[in-house]
Amino acid sequence: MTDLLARFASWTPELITAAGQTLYLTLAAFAGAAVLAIPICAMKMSKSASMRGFATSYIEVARGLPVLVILFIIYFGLPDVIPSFRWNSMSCAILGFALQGSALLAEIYRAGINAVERGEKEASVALGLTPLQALVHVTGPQAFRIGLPPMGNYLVGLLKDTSIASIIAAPELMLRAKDLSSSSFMPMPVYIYVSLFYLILSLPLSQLTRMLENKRVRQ
Amino acid sequence: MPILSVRGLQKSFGNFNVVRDVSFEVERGQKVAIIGPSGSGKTTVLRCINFLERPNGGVIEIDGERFGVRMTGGSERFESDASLAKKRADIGFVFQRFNLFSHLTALDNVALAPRLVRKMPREQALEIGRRMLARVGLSGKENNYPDALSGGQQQRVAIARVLAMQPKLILFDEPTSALDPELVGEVLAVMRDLANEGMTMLVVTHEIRFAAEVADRIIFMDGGQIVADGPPRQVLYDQPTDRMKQFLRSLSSDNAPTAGAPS
Repeated sequence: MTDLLARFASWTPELITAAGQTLYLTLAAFAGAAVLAIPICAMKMSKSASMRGFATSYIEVARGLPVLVILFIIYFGLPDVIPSFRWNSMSCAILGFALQGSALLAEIYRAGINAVERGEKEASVALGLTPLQALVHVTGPQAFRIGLPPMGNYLVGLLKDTSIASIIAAPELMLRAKDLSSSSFMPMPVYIYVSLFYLILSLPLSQLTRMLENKRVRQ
Repeated sequence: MPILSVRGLQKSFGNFNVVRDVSFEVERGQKVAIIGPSGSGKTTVLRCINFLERPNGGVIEIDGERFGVRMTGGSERFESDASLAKKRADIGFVFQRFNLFSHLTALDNVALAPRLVRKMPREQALEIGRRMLARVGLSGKENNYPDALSGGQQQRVAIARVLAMQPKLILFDEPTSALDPELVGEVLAVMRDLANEGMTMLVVTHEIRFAAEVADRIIFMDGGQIVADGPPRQVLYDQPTDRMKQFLRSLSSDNAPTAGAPS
């Protein structure tokens, strides 16, 4: 037993570093997705049919592919086609998750904007606000509030999904766990221990999401 | 020159002609009530005036200036959103369902458009907001969100929001129809004050008694057309059409005008 505890202790520093990388990957991908989703959502809601068509295809493709396929295309495929493309596995993973996430977030934005009362949009129009002012001051803030819970759910899901990046050798939690498992020949303790790390990261996030959800219901 | 001129207005939804060839004028300071059965096109006429609905035909002029359509090189084109927005700012619109911004306090609801559209400094916009809320009897409710206000209070905030833009003309779309009966009076009282202060008002309403008392003119619409247009006494009592008699009978007795009441 003490032997096992000693093992846990010896794994801890390495796993904490790796957990930091998991968190970094999650937040960077989320930020990228959140920004990229804005033009996609704008195109999806545009008056121009070709813009809408492009956005729809993008969203359907990005959502329809397993993220592992996207990661392989970026990490193995791109350097093959563009020899100068030399991104490390972490950057490729951030890009891949951000691309897929942008499709999901664009739909969350759109649902939020559509959920704002039509009457409030009309009122802003009737008062003389331009479409952009109405979006920034009336529709946007409310859409954001409506979209927060699903965005939180996406963030928690993303945190767990980043474990897939271990397959392209991004130095995050799951990759370290695999290394430790094969060097120690103790898969069960290693994976149980790494589960604990994932829970420590994800539980506060889902708690936060629930809080935001309750706040919205109260409003 | 009339402040509002509507000529040959047409609007259809699909194959259904909701408004057929409606024409009328409103002079500065006039209070005009539009009455008529449900589905007669009253609300659509109102919504076409500031292009919340795009008319299929006809001319809208505000203060002699063509609204919503621009002539370029001899052909008519719809105005851009930005140019429409500028003109809409001068026309108040009060909605049946209030349509307050639910994420803003009463005061911010009123101050938003002066800040954004009139480019007023924040403090000045808030000052105007407070004054307008006071004007509709809502001092002390500045920091309430819409869902913490009664329907009547929400509609009064909506009126204050319109007044803060110092409109040339206010369009009211059945402003009391969504209210509980006991809340109708407070909104009508505010509208009566506005009328006495000389505001130009075009009011779609089912409150016949209010229309008879406050309006200079009543327009009776049926089937997308104007059937009668004149002083309340004349339209309601002196020369009522059969359709008008039938409409008046269909109204509940406590809302129906009492004979001889209007001046």
